Amino acid sequence: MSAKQPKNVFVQGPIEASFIADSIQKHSSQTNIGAHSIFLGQVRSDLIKARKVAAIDYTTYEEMALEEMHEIREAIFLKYQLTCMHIYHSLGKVAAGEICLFVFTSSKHRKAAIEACEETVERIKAELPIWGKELFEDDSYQWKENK
Amino acid sequence: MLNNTTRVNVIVFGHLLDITKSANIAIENVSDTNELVQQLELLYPFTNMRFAIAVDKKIVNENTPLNDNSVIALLPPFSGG
Repeated sequence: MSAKQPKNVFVQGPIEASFIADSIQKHSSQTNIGAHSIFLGQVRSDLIKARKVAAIDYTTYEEMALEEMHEIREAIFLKYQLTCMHIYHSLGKVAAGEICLFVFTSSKHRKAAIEACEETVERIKAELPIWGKELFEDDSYQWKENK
Repeated sequence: MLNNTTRVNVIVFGHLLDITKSANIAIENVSDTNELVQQLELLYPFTNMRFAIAVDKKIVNENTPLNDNSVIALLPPFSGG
Protein backbone atom coordinates (compact mmCIF):
# COMPACT_ATOMS: atom_id res chain seq x y z
CA MET A 1 0.00 0.00 0.00
CA SER A 2 1.35 3.38 -0.95
CA ALA A 3 1.50 6.02 1.74
CA LYS A 4 0.07 8.56 -0.68
CA GLN A 5 -3.55 9.50 0.05
CA PRO A 6 -5.93 8.59 -2.78
CA LYS A 7 -6.76 11.74 -4.75
CA ASN A 8 -10.39 12.76 -5.05
CA VAL A 9 -11.85 12.38 -8.54
CA PHE A 10 -15.50 13.15 -7.85
CA VAL A 11 -17.33 16.38 -8.63
CA GLN A 12 -20.94 17.14 -7.79
CA GLY A 13 -23.06 17.54 -10.93
CA PRO A 14 -21.87 18.01 -14.53
CA ILE A 15 -18.30 18.87 -15.56
CA GLU A 16 -18.42 22.32 -17.16
CA ALA A 17 -16.71 23.06 -20.50
CA SER A 18 -15.04 26.09 -18.85
CA PHE A 19 -13.47 23.78 -16.24
CA ILE A 20 -12.06 21.62 -19.04
CA ALA A 21 -10.72 24.72 -20.84
CA ASP A 22 -9.07 25.92 -17.63
CA SER A 23 -7.45 22.50 -17.12
CA ILE A 24 -5.92 22.68 -20.60
CA GLN A 25 -4.74 26.26 -20.03
CA LYS A 26 -2.99 25.29 -16.78
CA HIS A 27 -0.62 23.02 -18.72
CA SER A 28 0.84 25.81 -20.90
CA SER A 29 3.68 26.35 -18.41
CA GLN A 30 4.76 22.70 -18.69
CA THR A 31 6.74 23.01 -21.89
CA ASN A 32 8.12 19.45 -21.71
CA ILE A 33 4.64 18.24 -22.76
CA GLY A 34 4.16 17.58 -26.47
CA ALA A 35 0.78 15.84 -26.47
CA HIS A 36 -2.50 15.81 -24.57
CA SER A 37 -5.23 13.25 -24.91
CA ILE A 38 -8.71 14.00 -23.59
CA PHE A 39 -11.73 11.78 -23.20
CA LEU A 40 -15.11 13.30 -22.39
CA GLY A 41 -18.09 11.15 -21.49
CA GLN A 42 -21.43 12.79 -22.27
CA VAL A 43 -24.85 11.68 -21.01
CA ARG A 44 -26.73 10.25 -23.98
CA SER A 45 -30.46 10.63 -24.34
CA ASP A 46 -31.24 6.98 -25.11
CA LEU A 47 -34.76 6.01 -26.08
CA ILE A 48 -35.74 2.92 -24.05
CA LYS A 49 -39.21 1.46 -24.58
CA ALA A 50 -40.52 4.82 -25.83
CA ARG A 51 -39.09 6.60 -22.78
CA LYS A 52 -36.35 9.19 -23.24
CA VAL A 53 -33.40 9.51 -20.82
CA ALA A 54 -33.46 13.04 -19.37
CA ALA A 55 -30.53 12.66 -16.96
CA ILE A 56 -28.33 10.16 -15.13
CA ASP A 57 -28.02 10.22 -11.36
CA TYR A 58 -24.59 8.86 -10.34
CA THR A 59 -23.76 7.28 -6.99
CA THR A 60 -20.59 5.57 -5.82
CA TYR A 61 -18.98 3.59 -3.05
CA GLU A 62 -16.56 6.46 -2.59
CA GLU A 63 -13.91 4.95 -0.29
CA MET A 64 -13.54 1.90 -2.50
CA ALA A 65 -13.70 3.88 -5.76
CA LEU A 66 -10.91 6.24 -4.66
CA GLU A 67 -8.69 3.32 -3.62
CA GLU A 68 -9.32 1.54 -6.92
CA MET A 69 -8.67 4.74 -8.86
CA HIS A 70 -5.41 5.20 -6.98
CA GLU A 71 -4.32 1.70 -8.04
CA ILE A 72 -5.32 2.33 -11.66
CA ARG A 73 -3.40 5.62 -11.65
CA GLU A 74 -0.25 3.94 -10.27
CA ALA A 75 -0.46 1.14 -12.85
CA ILE A 76 -0.95 3.58 -15.73
CA PHE A 77 2.02 5.69 -14.63
CA LEU A 78 4.18 2.56 -14.45
CA LYS A 79 3.12 1.44 -17.93
CA TYR A 80 3.22 4.73 -19.85
CA GLN A 81 5.65 7.64 -19.96
CA LEU A 82 3.18 10.27 -18.78
CA THR A 83 3.86 13.78 -17.59
CA CYS A 84 0.54 13.99 -15.79
CA MET A 85 -2.99 12.65 -15.62
CA HIS A 86 -6.21 14.21 -14.35
CA ILE A 87 -9.51 12.42 -13.82
CA TYR A 88 -12.92 13.79 -12.89
CA HIS A 89 -16.19 11.87 -12.60
CA SER A 90 -19.58 13.34 -11.81
CA LEU A 91 -21.80 12.35 -8.91
CA GLY A 92 -25.46 13.26 -8.61
CA LYS A 93 -27.61 14.42 -11.47
CA VAL A 94 -26.13 15.07 -14.92
CA ALA A 95 -28.58 16.03 -17.68
CA ALA A 96 -28.50 14.59 -21.20
CA GLY A 97 -25.89 16.48 -23.21
CA GLU A 98 -23.77 17.33 -20.19
CA ILE A 99 -20.29 15.93 -19.42
CA CYS A 100 -19.98 13.25 -16.70
CA LEU A 101 -16.39 11.99 -17.20
CA PHE A 102 -13.18 13.87 -18.02
CA VAL A 103 -9.91 11.99 -18.44
CA PHE A 104 -6.87 14.07 -19.38
CA THR A 105 -3.42 12.57 -20.01
CA SER A 106 -0.27 14.41 -21.06
CA SER A 107 3.08 13.17 -22.30
CA LYS A 108 6.13 14.13 -24.35
CA HIS A 109 4.93 12.23 -27.41
CA ARG A 110 1.41 11.42 -28.55
CA LYS A 111 1.29 7.61 -28.28
CA ALA A 112 1.71 7.43 -24.50
CA ALA A 113 -1.00 10.06 -23.92
CA ILE A 114 -3.48 8.44 -26.33
CA GLU A 115 -2.98 4.86 -25.12
CA ALA A 116 -2.94 5.80 -21.43
CA CYS A 117 -6.13 7.81 -21.86
CA GLU A 118 -7.95 4.94 -23.56
CA GLU A 119 -6.82 2.34 -21.04
CA THR A 120 -7.77 4.57 -18.12
CA VAL A 121 -11.28 5.16 -19.51
CA GLU A 122 -11.79 1.41 -20.02
CA ARG A 123 -10.60 0.63 -16.51
CA ILE A 124 -12.79 3.34 -14.96
CA LYS A 125 -15.86 1.89 -16.67
CA ALA A 126 -15.03 -1.70 -15.72
CA GLU A 127 -13.54 -1.36 -12.25
CA LEU A 128 -14.87 1.66 -10.37
CA PRO A 129 -17.91 1.04 -8.14
CA ILE A 130 -20.11 3.73 -9.69
CA TRP A 131 -23.77 3.34 -10.63
CA GLY A 132 -25.86 5.40 -13.02
CA LYS A 133 -29.60 5.63 -12.59
CA GLU A 134 -31.18 6.68 -15.89
CA LEU A 135 -33.96 9.12 -15.16
CA PHE A 136 -36.61 9.29 -17.86
CA GLU A 137 -38.64 12.31 -18.90
CA ASP A 138 -41.78 10.70 -17.42
CA ASP A 139 -40.13 10.48 -13.95
CA SER A 140 -39.62 6.69 -14.15
CA TYR A 141 -36.06 5.29 -14.01
CA GLN A 142 -33.86 2.29 -14.66
CA TRP A 143 -30.38 1.33 -13.49
CA LYS A 144 -27.82 1.59 -16.25
CA GLU A 145 -25.35 -1.20 -17.01
CA ASN A 146 -22.05 -0.73 -18.84
CA LYS A 147 -21.57 -2.71 -22.03
CA MET B 1 -15.16 -8.81 21.36
CA LEU B 2 -16.83 -9.79 24.62
CA ASN B 3 -19.75 -11.63 23.09
CA ASN B 4 -19.40 -14.33 20.51
CA THR B 5 -22.13 -13.08 18.19
CA THR B 6 -20.82 -11.80 14.91
CA ARG B 7 -22.63 -8.73 13.69
CA VAL B 8 -21.60 -7.40 10.31
CA ASN B 9 -22.64 -4.26 8.52
CA VAL B 10 -23.63 -4.52 4.89
CA ILE B 11 -23.72 -1.50 2.58
CA VAL B 12 -26.04 -1.74 -0.40
CA PHE B 13 -25.74 0.05 -3.76
CA GLY B 14 -27.43 0.50 -7.13
CA HIS B 15 -30.49 -1.50 -8.07
CA LEU B 16 -30.21 -3.64 -4.92
CA LEU B 17 -31.33 -0.53 -3.01
CA ASP B 18 -34.70 -0.81 -4.76
CA ILE B 19 -35.11 -4.17 -3.01
CA THR B 20 -33.61 -3.54 0.42
CA LYS B 21 -34.96 0.06 0.67
CA SER B 22 -32.06 0.67 3.02
CA ALA B 23 -28.41 1.41 2.32
CA ASN B 24 -27.23 -0.22 5.56
CA ILE B 25 -28.20 -3.65 6.84
CA ALA B 26 -26.94 -5.32 10.01
CA ILE B 27 -26.71 -9.11 9.84
CA GLU B 28 -25.96 -11.30 12.84
CA ASN B 29 -24.47 -14.75 13.28
CA VAL B 30 -22.67 -15.14 10.00
CA SER B 31 -19.08 -16.34 9.87
CA ASP B 32 -18.37 -16.09 6.15
CA THR B 33 -19.66 -14.55 2.93
CA ASN B 34 -21.56 -17.70 1.88
CA GLU B 35 -23.54 -17.61 5.12
CA LEU B 36 -24.11 -13.91 4.66
CA VAL B 37 -25.59 -14.39 1.19
CA GLN B 38 -27.84 -17.19 2.52
CA GLN B 39 -29.11 -14.86 5.26
CA LEU B 40 -29.70 -12.04 2.80
CA GLU B 41 -31.61 -14.33 0.45
CA LEU B 42 -33.93 -15.24 3.32
CA LEU B 43 -34.58 -11.58 4.02
CA TYR B 44 -34.81 -10.18 0.48
CA PRO B 45 -35.92 -11.46 -2.95
CA PHE B 46 -32.39 -11.43 -4.38
CA THR B 47 -33.06 -14.27 -6.82
CA ASN B 48 -31.67 -13.50 -10.29
CA MET B 49 -29.87 -10.41 -8.99
CA ARG B 50 -26.27 -10.16 -10.04
CA PHE B 51 -23.85 -8.55 -7.62
CA ALA B 52 -20.27 -8.77 -6.43
CA ILE B 53 -19.30 -8.74 -2.77
CA ALA B 54 -16.57 -6.51 -1.38
CA VAL B 55 -15.07 -7.23 2.03
CA ASP B 56 -13.15 -4.25 3.37
CA LYS B 57 -13.27 -2.57 -0.05
CA LYS B 58 -11.84 -5.54 -1.98
CA ILE B 59 -13.98 -7.71 -4.22
CA VAL B 60 -13.91 -11.34 -3.09
CA ASN B 61 -14.50 -14.22 -5.50
CA GLU B 62 -14.37 -17.04 -2.98
CA ASN B 63 -16.03 -17.71 0.35
CA THR B 64 -14.35 -15.33 2.78
CA PRO B 65 -14.38 -15.38 6.60
CA LEU B 66 -16.00 -12.37 8.29
CA ASN B 67 -15.49 -10.79 11.67
CA ASP B 68 -17.16 -8.06 13.69
CA ASN B 69 -15.21 -5.34 12.00
CA SER B 70 -15.75 -6.48 8.42
CA VAL B 71 -17.30 -3.93 6.11
CA ILE B 72 -19.27 -5.71 3.43
CA ALA B 73 -20.64 -4.08 0.31
CA LEU B 74 -23.04 -5.53 -2.25
CA LEU B 75 -22.05 -4.22 -5.66
CA PRO B 76 -24.34 -4.56 -8.69
CA PRO B 77 -22.72 -4.33 -12.17
CA PHE B 78 -20.91 -1.00 -12.48
CA SER B 79 -22.15 1.74 -14.78
CA GLY B 80 -19.81 4.68 -14.35
CA GLY B 81 -18.47 6.92 -17.12
